[in-house]
Order: sequence, then structure tokens, then C-alpha cells
Amino acid sequence: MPKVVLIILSTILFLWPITGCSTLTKENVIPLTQEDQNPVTAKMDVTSPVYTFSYDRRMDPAEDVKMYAPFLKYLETATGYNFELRPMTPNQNLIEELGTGRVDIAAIGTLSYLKAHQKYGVRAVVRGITEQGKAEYRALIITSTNSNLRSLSDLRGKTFTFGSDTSTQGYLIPRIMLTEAGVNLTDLTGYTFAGSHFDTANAVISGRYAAGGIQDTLGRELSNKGLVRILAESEEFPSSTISVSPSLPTDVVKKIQEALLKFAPEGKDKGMLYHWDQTEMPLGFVSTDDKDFEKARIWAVRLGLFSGGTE
Amino acid sequence: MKLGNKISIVIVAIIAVMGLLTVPLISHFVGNALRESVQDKEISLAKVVASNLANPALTGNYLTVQRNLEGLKEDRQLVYAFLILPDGSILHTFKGNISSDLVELNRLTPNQSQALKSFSSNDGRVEDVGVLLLDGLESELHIGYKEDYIQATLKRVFETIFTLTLVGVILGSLAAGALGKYLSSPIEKLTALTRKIKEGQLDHRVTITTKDEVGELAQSFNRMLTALEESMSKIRVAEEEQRTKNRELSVLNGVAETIRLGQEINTVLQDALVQIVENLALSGGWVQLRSRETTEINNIITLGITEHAIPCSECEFCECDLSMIEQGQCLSKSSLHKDGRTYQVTGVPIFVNDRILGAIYLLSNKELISADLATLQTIGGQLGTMIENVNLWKELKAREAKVSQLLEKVIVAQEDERKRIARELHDETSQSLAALAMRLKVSMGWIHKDTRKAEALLEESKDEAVRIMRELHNIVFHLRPTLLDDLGLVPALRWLAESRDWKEPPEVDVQGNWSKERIDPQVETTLYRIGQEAITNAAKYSQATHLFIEFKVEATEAILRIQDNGKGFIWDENMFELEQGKKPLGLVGMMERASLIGGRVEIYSEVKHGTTVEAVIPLKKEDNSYGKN
Repeated sequence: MPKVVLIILSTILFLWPITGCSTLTKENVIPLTQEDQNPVTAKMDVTSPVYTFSYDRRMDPAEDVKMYAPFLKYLETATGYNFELRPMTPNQNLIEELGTGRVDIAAIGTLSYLKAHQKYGVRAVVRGITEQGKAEYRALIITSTNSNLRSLSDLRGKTFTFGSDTSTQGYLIPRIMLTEAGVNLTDLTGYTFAGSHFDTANAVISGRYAAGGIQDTLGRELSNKGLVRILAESEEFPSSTISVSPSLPTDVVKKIQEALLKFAPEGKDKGMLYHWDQTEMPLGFVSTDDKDFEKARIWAVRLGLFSGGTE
Repeated sequence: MKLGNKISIVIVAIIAVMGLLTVPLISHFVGNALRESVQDKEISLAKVVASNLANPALTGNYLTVQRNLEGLKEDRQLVYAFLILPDGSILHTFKGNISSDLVELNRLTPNQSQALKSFSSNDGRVEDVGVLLLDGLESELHIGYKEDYIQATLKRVFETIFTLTLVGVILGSLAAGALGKYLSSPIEKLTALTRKIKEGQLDHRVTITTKDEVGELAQSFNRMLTALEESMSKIRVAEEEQRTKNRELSVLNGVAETIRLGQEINTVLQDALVQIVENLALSGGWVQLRSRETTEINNIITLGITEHAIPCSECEFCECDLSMIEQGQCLSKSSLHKDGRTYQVTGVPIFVNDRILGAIYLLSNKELISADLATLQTIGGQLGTMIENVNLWKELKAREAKVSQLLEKVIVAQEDERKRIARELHDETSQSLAALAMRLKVSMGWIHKDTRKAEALLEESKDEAVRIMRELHNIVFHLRPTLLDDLGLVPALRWLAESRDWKEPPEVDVQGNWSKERIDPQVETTLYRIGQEAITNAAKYSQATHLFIEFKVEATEAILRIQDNGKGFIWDENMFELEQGKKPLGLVGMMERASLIGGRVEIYSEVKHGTTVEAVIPLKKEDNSYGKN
């Protein structure tokens, strides 16, 4: 009988810690609010050297973050540097941020590059290889599937939507295409900057605008799905760049360039990426320099998008 | 403590321990599961909220973000929500300023995408759920949920489980008590039965009719008891048989030990009676022996009863033969009143072969069992054999004495014969031969001087030689008469009677049915020597004037009778028991000679009426050729 009592007691003692004794422990009470009316800011990690990365907004803001976050993981692995993704808020100008060194690296289109290069001496280190296997891309002018537009000249007296006013595929190249077709902005009933290629697509599909200039990759995808009809296709222009701030050390630039050139989004690095095929650099990068952007620079100047010289 | 109580206590203890184990464990696991489930939902909700807030936050629509956060507060379980933007600024749901402690309480580390932290706040217990606004972006959304309702739910679960466990313990205890009683009841029955078995009561059985293992055990137990009872019964019977056998052997052994040759029969019978009475635990008894020739009782040995208390009885078993005895028909049972008590009297015959020598009677308080009766019958045979052996022993001893006397007589007779031969050779033959030698020497001296005288001397010498030869013939004849060999027994005896040195030669008369056919030479010689002794005695002592010799050969025996009419002598059978040196060896010698070949010699004598010696010798079939002729 003593054995039974011993077993019961030992079992109770064994189980004691499970039976909620933690409620007896005295714990600090955290106040939810404070009297101090000074704005509270969270402490951000500023100790470790971090290179900031930003981009031209291209699609849905959250989708952009989801696409570039794993890309930065690749760069961190390949270079050994830490990178921080810094989306631009509406009150921030990426060209200025990049030029002044608050952003070290950025994925920007030709037009942004031309402006940043002219104003701050920003350098393009690589250009993206499109799904056609080229380091050039095109822009498309799309219309809704039930539109009766047959050529760009039919756009006179119609509404038109561009992407962002800094976008190459969403603005520069569509402007070039319209100009070559003899359609000036004044010929249009109205035009707008939707903000992104997504917004352009939505505006055209919904019929709010008769046509829109859009990235060729997304335009073809939407056309294949029967959501839009391709009205015109541009000639090739240099694809989007990865450009670096002029303040970034050369060795860091070189290391980053090497890592970018080794980037294989359809090969070894595919698994870690998110919808990378929808970017303007789905097959990786080739090295580039300023000469590759001469034609685009001439058109941009001609269209009055920027002055052309160095400010 | 009873087994049923032990079982009850153990089961109650097990239920209680299991309850004690179950309540905290279930509370722990249910609490954890509930907490994990709630946390999963909280995290999911936080991620959904973060996903919804991502675009307005990234596009700088902070008012939208603020409204969305405040919209979350419709959930009563939500305490707060705040968003840390990449630049460190904070959007939150508090009316006042958010506490910096709260902001830093559950910050995500670089590799974390979500974090949970439970803490005590000035608004109760809160669980802070932190998620990234978007992976790869340094922006965190934190939502605080009330934990009180989880605790309340856990408390309700704990109370329910505790109540159920308590009810389970009570019901289990009742069931355990009933189970203990149910299990221990048949065992108690079996235990009670084992006590009875221990006391030797094998006729009890346990009545358990359940169809389970206990029922099988009970049935096996009953079967075992039946087998045990049968075995014990056999053992008891065997023991009783063994005891009876032992007693029988003990009696027989005791009786056998009393039998010592050379002792008086009465002594042996007395000892045997003591052994029987002691070993069979009897009250007493007596032995009656009858005379050989009649049924008259001539000897009574008693034990535990006086002779005059013995009821008179004839030779009770004299009509019994061996087969009747062996069949147990020769038993007597009666009762005897002695000293105010009634005894059973059991009588069995004392017998040897078919002869009833007497009876043994035993007193007992109750009737004897058949085994004892069989033993007594065996003892009857044993005592009969013993009495016979004692009698034979006595006869043997007597015969040994007679043989010894005969041997002595034979030696004396041989010496007498040698003396006679020596005396006759010395006194007669030797003298005659010396005279013959002298006469021959004288004749030799005269042969050349006077031939006639020499011839006359030689003639005398020849006559002397003839006489010497006759003397030698007589000597030899007395050693073994040639007449016996040549003419047979009767002529030899007649010659012997006539040639004895009688003072007055009697008239010898011979009768019989002898013939020329001869009987066995051994019988003939024996009868001749008996006759020779009788005739010699008659010649020496009887002074008879008439001697009658009769010889008859019957179908089975040869009879020789020598009868004289002399002075006779006083015949006494005890004369053969005389001291050494005074025994009538001649008479003994005759008897022994006859007995050596299975015959007998009987002597009848009366003073002045002569003596008759009769020898009867049995014949083998081929020996009785006398009768045929």
C-alpha cells in the first residue's frame, strides 16, 4: 500500500509544473499608452552596413515588394552584402534618392536612367534580358477586345492612358509610337498616367480609356488571355536597367555587377523568386553602358521629356 | 485485508491517479491546442490585415491604413493594432500616444516573419501578434488580442474535466467495489473450501457457475477435489489394508518367533497366544489341544481367562478338512459373559494338513474383521505345523538317541565279535595248530625211524587238521551263516536256534509261508540279525523249553516272530530311557535295525510267560514274491 501512495504523490509532484503555476509568477505590466505626446518611432536597425535597393514602381505596390524581396536575398547571398528594400513613397523621388545616395541601387527604366544619369551621374551596370532573350524590349499599345480601333491613327479623338510618367514602356516608348503615327497628345480627347502597367491594363480592360501604352510582356499575356487586343507594337529599346548611385564604391559596384550577371532566374535561382517572369528582366542581365541608351536619349529630348544635357 | 477491498482500493487509486493525470494533461493539451488554434487564427488575421494594408501603406495612403486599423477594433477581442512603417513611424489604434515599451515589446528579428508574445498590460493579459507587412520589407504590423477569454475558456474546460473526473472517480469507486466483490466472492468461496480441505473435508464442493476463468477454475477445483477424494479413499483403503497386513505380519511374525524347537508345546502355545492377543488388541483367549487318537480335549492353555470360565466344548472342528478351512467354513462365533461384560468369542481350528489338532479361541470386544479371521486361520495352520514340528522334533531326538545307542552297541558287538574270534582262534585254533605242528614235527622225526608210527601220527595230524578246519568253519559261519545265503532265512534261523549253547536245548518249532523265492537280501539279513539277537537272548536268558519261529510274507510286509516260553521279564517302555551303559542294547539294536529299512520291532514279555519279539518290515512290490509261491 505505501508503494501506491508513493506513486500517487510522485505523479502529482511530476505533474505540478503543468497545472498552471505560471499564474503565480509576478510579471511586469506593460503600459499600452504613454502620457508623453512626442511621436513615438520604432527603433530601426542602423548598425549593420546595408545597401538600399529601390525600383520604379511597375505593378501593384505589394506585388513589386514580393518580386524584389527574394531578388535581394539572391544578391545578399551572391555578394555577402546586406540589402534593404526601400519602396518609394509618393513624396519621394527615386531619381533624387538614387542620385543623392539615399538609395544605392535601383531597378529603373530607360527614361529614369537618362534623367538620373543626366542629373546625378547615375550609372547603369546591367540591362535585363527579356523573354525574347534580348536586352531590349518593346512597348505595346493595347485596346479593349471590343474596340473598333484598327490603327494608331484611329486614336485621334480618343482617350489614352500611360503608365507612370517616368516609365519607359509605359510612357516614353508609347509617346514615340504615337508621335511616329502622327498622333500628338493634343490629338487625343484626353490622356492620363494610370501609375503602373497594372493600372493601365485595368483602365483599358474596363473601357475607361480607349487605349494604353503598356509593357510588352504583360500586354502579350493579357492579349493571350483575351482581355485586350494589341493595337501596335514598338521597335526595340534598351530594356530596364539596374543602376547604381554615383556614391557607391567601385569595388562594390563591380561585385554587384558580377552577381547580377550570374543571376539565372530560369536556372539555379528560379526556386527562390516570385513572379520574376513578369519583370522586364525575366532571363537575367547583360552588362551595359551609357552608349546603349543614345537612341532613347534622342527621342526623349525630342519629345521634351528631359533636356538631354547634363544639369 | 480482503482481496475485494484491495482490488477496490487499487482501482480507485488508479482512477484517482488517472484523473489527476488526466485533468492537468487534458487542460494542458486542450489549452495548448486552443491557444495554438487561436494563435494560428490571430496570425492568419494579422497576415490578411497586413496584406490589405500593404498597398495603401506602400503608396502612402496612411489615412486609409489608419482607418483600416481602427476598423479592426470592432472585434471585441482586439485590444490594439499598430503598424511600424519602414521609416520607423507608427500608425496605431490608440486614442492617446502609443507606449514605446509596447512598440519594442515584440519586435521581429531580421529572419522572423512573425512573432507572438503574451504579456500583462494595464488592460489585462494581452497577446501581441507581430507579422511583416510584406516579406523583405522592414515594416511590421502588430495586433494585440485579449487573452482573458482564452483563460476563461481554459478554466471552463478545466472545471468540466475536473467535474467529469470526480464523477468518474465516484462511479469508478462504486464499480470497483462491486467488481472487487464480484471478483473476490468466488475466490473467498474457494478459500473457504481450501480451509475445509485442510481440515480433511473433501466432500464439499464450490458452487460457481459463471462461464469465465473463475468458473473454469471452480470447475477444475471441484474436479480436483473429486479426484483427491477418490485418491484419499484409495489411500485410506490401502492404508487400512497395509495396517491389516502389518498387523497380520506382526502377529504371524510374533507367533513365528515364539516357535522354537526343543521347547515344550505348551510354552510355545502360551507365547503364541500372548502375541496374538497383544497384536490384535484382544481381551484374551485360550488354546485347546485334543489327543491324537480321540476327540477328547487333553490340553488347555489360557490367557486373560481362567480355565473354569472356559465353556465346555467338544472337538468343535474335528469334522473340518483342509478345503473347508481354506474356504473359511471352519470358524465359530459365539459370545461369553465374563466379569459382567460380554465378549465375542472367535474360534479357529489348529490343523496340519487335514488333521485337526485343536482350536484357538479369542475374546474380543467386538466382532473380528475378515482380515483378522484370515490371519487367525493362518495362525491356526502355523500353530498346527508348529505342534507337528515339535512332535517330530521330539521323535527325531528320541531316534537320534536310539541311533546313538545302536552305534554304541554295534561297536560293542563288533568288539565282542572280534574278542570271540580272537579267543576262539587263540584258545582253539591256535592251540590246535600248535598241537598239529608238534604232531607233524614228531611225525617227521619218526618217518625215517618208524614209518608206521609216523603214518599213525600223520593220520592223527590229518584228523586234527580236519577238526581245525571245522572250527574255522564255525567261526566263519557265525560271522555270516552260509545257510542264510544257501537255504534262506527260516532254515538259517532254525540252524541258529539249534546250534546255540542252550542249557537245555528247547524244542524248536518253525512255521510260515516262505518259499524258495527270496525276498530282498537287505530285508532278509535284517530279519536274520533280529532273529539272531532274539534267539541269542532266549538262549542266554530265557531258560525256555520251547522256541517258536514264525515267518510270514504278506502283500506289503514281511513278519518275523520269535516266541519263547521262558521266564520272561518286566516290560517297561521307559527301560529305553535308562542311563548310558544300562540300556538294553540288544533290544534297541533290533528296533533300530528294523527302523533303518522302515520296519518296526515290537517286544512283548511277561514274567514267567515268555517273550515274544515281532519284527514287521515293509516290502517293496518286487520283494513280496514269497506270497506268489
